[in-house]
Amino acid sequence: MSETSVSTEVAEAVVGGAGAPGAPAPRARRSRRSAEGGSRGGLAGLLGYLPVAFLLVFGGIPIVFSLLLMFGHLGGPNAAISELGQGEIPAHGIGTLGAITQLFENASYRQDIFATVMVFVVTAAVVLAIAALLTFWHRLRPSKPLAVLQFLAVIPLFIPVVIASFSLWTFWGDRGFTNSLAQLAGWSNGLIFSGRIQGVILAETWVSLPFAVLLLRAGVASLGDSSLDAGRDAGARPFTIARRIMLPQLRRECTVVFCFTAVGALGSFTVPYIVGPSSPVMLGVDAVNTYTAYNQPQQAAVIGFTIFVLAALIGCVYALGSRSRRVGRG
Amino acid sequence: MQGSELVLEQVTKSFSGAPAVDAVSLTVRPHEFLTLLGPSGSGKTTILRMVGGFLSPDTGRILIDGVDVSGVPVERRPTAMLFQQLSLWPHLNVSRNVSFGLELRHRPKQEIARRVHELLSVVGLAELGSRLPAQLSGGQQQRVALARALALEPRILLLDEPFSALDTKLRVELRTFVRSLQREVGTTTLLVTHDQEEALELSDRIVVMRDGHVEQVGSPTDIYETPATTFVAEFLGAMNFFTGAASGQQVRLAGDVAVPVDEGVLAAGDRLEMGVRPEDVVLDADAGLPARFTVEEVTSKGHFRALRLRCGALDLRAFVDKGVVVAPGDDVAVRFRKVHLFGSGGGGQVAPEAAAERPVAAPSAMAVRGASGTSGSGSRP
Repeated sequence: MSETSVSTEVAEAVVGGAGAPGAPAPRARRSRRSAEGGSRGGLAGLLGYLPVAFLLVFGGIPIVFSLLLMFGHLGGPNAAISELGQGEIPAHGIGTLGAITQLFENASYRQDIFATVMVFVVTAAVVLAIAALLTFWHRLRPSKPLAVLQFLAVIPLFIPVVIASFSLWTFWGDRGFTNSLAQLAGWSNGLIFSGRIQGVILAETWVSLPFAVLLLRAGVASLGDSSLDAGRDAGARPFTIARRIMLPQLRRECTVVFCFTAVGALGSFTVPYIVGPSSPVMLGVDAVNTYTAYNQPQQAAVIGFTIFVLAALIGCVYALGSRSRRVGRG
Repeated sequence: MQGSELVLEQVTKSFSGAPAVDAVSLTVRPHEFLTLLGPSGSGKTTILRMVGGFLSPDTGRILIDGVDVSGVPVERRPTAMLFQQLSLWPHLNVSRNVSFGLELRHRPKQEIARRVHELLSVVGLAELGSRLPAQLSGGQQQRVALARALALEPRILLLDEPFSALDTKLRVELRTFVRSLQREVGTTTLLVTHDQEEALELSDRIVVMRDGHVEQVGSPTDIYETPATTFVAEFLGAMNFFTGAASGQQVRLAGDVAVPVDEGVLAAGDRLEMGVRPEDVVLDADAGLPARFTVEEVTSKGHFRALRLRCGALDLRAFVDKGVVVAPGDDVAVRFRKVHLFGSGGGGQVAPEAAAERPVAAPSAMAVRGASGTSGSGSRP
């Protein structure tokens, strides 16, 4: 861009000359051009800064206010919410850890954290395993049943989560299809998942699977036939090819699937609210309950901060897993 | 390294009902370098993949050293393949790529290290063992792939157009290297290519394929000098084709141009196709020869010149020494060093050993009046 501009200017200077009649002075033209360039640059800069400003105003400032609230600063921008809230622990000096300590000393809250971690870790692992099994195996041993399964796995993408959650609640409930079957087989109340953490994991898996399958399918398709054939040619069986050739080449895709599923499950509300138990609850439900039912905005802010820390940990996993490899395995 | 005999017996393979390989029988001798040559869709890669175990034949048998391997899975076949695309595993360095198969066979670590070093030395990349494939050139990557294929000491080495992804210079370098390496290690080698130059340069024998069946098998010289059909003739090298009819000891081409042939070769009235390789066309300044061609185009090809000549409606392509001085518009007489006669429809060659130089005879007026009914003439480079 800059090279083009320079050469244009030189050409015009040669043709027009400094004293060409009727031609504006080169310096004047240059300054006009630089003014136009400056306004274009300003517009581009504005377009670039707008989203940042948007995030700062609608994301950054509320986060700062929440942090202040969490550390007991109940005045200023938090004055209105503090006026209505209950069980608040005000700061004396730069801040207090009182609300945090209060929550973490509560065994129920610690159970909620444990349940949340278990749900998002197990869900992410199960989703990754199922998606990898479906897509890797179909690539190595293409078959009609696997193709059908891959298709079925994508269907939940088009079903609203709230409807899916309610369907799963009834399907796995004490009067649901699975338990009815179990009772017919003489297994009393053996297959009830609704109202249990296992049910949340199953439902989160169901909801998250389509994205994982689509992403891994695209990744698997990007592997060259010759890469896999060379593995077979070297004597590797399908499982070895999947483990030693496909998986390392799809490390980024697998990391994305794991982390996005984990973050999705961590931040989910509808599934655990409808399908999950009343205790322990996942942190998203806990935050809403604490804010709306118990009217404790300061404690809700602490729960939000806990979710944020867990999400940041998942972000670290994502950053580690998706970084480019600079040296080969030797 | 060992070289084994590979035998294909009436091997057939179809895809969705369309035959890709049609009852092909073939023997590759121990230590031989055999090339499957043919256009796209001729079935050559299908044969290679069946030998490698990536596809199963519908019918027929594949035998290696007399043992039927048709049902043996790819990972247990005594074959190794070098693929068309650069197929190194990008997450493993060069040494790990080469040692992969050996690790799967649980060979001792010391043996693996020694073997990898040995093979990388053979392919001239001993110093690059710790590099990733992405840090190598295309030629180097194919050398590593070759080392990887040789690591398992295959009895049959399969090369699936391994040079096609490389630029011209690298391609020439690598195929020279592959040929000398194959001679050194002696592994029976089956190459698939559509590049005639590659086939002529590398092969002990060439199998020309068309539409799933074998058109001709022979040494490069045999196939080039004595093509069995017009398809082989035009696929391997360039050839001018003319439709004609036998008339005494002559082939009379369209426009009454006549070419004498050996006695007893033809029966009067036979319809046939006559082929002449461009390098078998000799320009002759002797004005006494009856048929004269006009030079229409002269193209320099570096070490020779390509001419397009016309005699009435007969088009003729000739390759002459770069020292021959001709220009568009010149009138020249021509002789054919050798002609190939094929049955009408491009079938079997009826006079493969037409050896003597043949002056092209024609009524003296032909060149100026042109010829009627010359639809059968033309040059197919």
